[in-house]
Amino acid sequence: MSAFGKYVAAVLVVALVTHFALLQLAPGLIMDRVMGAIEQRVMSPGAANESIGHESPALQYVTDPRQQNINARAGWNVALPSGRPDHTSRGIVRPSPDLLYTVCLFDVSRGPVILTAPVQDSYVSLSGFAANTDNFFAINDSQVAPDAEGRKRFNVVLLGSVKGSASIPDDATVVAAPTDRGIVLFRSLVRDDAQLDELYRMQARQLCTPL
Amino acid sequence: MFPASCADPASMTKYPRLEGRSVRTLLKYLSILVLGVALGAGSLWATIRFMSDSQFVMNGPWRTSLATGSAEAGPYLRLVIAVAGLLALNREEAIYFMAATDSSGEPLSGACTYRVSGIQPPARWWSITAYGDDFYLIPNDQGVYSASPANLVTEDDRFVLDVGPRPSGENWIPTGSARHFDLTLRLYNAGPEVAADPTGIELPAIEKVGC
Repeated sequence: MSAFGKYVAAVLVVALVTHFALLQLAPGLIMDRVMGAIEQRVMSPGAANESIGHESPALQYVTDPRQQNINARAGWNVALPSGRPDHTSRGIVRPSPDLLYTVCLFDVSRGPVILTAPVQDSYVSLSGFAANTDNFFAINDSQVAPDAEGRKRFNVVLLGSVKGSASIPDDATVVAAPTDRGIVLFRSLVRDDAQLDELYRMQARQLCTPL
Repeated sequence: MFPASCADPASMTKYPRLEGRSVRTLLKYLSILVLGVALGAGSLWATIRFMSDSQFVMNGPWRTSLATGSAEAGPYLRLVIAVAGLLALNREEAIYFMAATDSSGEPLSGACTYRVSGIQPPARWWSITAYGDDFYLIPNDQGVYSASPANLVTEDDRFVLDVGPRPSGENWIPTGSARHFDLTLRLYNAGPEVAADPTGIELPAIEKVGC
């Protein structure tokens, strides 16, 4: 092979390695950036519009001690409700203005995380996204059976590589997380502006906590 | 006092030639690296752009991919989604159609008003939302970003919706002073016929009304 041929071959090898390395790594890097922005937002309430959206009026209805003082906690395994998206909302691309989003960064590397929420009388879903962006589970209100009192609620345990000593509630749906870290999203449909206050109260009870 | 090699006149004369050669070698490797990385990254970017045609299916001006969000999405589609639609749901939960052109194939312009008309698509809930070229909601004085069964005036399941800077009918998504925009049609819990035949179902037509 001529010196020039070797040179071209070397360039092509570097190009191939770069192409496929970027292809594999880029979704994870993009996801990392978004998770970083959400983490910042959880810990600094003032930065609302730069990361994932408005601070939700739901925050005033938060009564669960596991959910209170979310700003004083680490950014992981805590649900963060956002207000209704508008043109100032950033971070999550193509937000739907008809949904209230509650986001949670999960980390199941030290044990399972439990996701619970009351289910409203219109579309609401709970979904999980792995570190490579795959949507590894999604359930919605129509797939949840009502309890003895006729009430519906989400009750999902996310299980990672470490089960720890946690005992998983019998009535919970167990979902295996393909990666130890990722994002959980609650989407609650706003059918009517008059519903908003009630939806914010429900949003305040969408929980994401270590089991 | 001096290293032996420096004190040796023979090596003193040889030294600059050696240095010249090593600089050339270094430059050669550096150019391989720079060219290779540029070619690798550039080809990935081009593939992603070009791929839009092969990974998606079209229904009139609307394009979709049923693999969105699922683990069966190949690495290229996964990257496309990570860039333009992170945290999208899989097809059981939601099917997303996007239109960047009108029904005649011309790119949507913020200077023009379009008439989007058709029958309500088969889904538990659906909406049409306009996004700017930054993938976020478009600022407008009316604070209206989407159309859905919640705010649309329909007649016998049919609707006529104006999208653009100026209204002409009773249903309107204002696009403010955006220069370009695109539309996302979301079908939550879509009817089984959508996943079975995404190109065959009847979706709204997009016609230019005026500029």
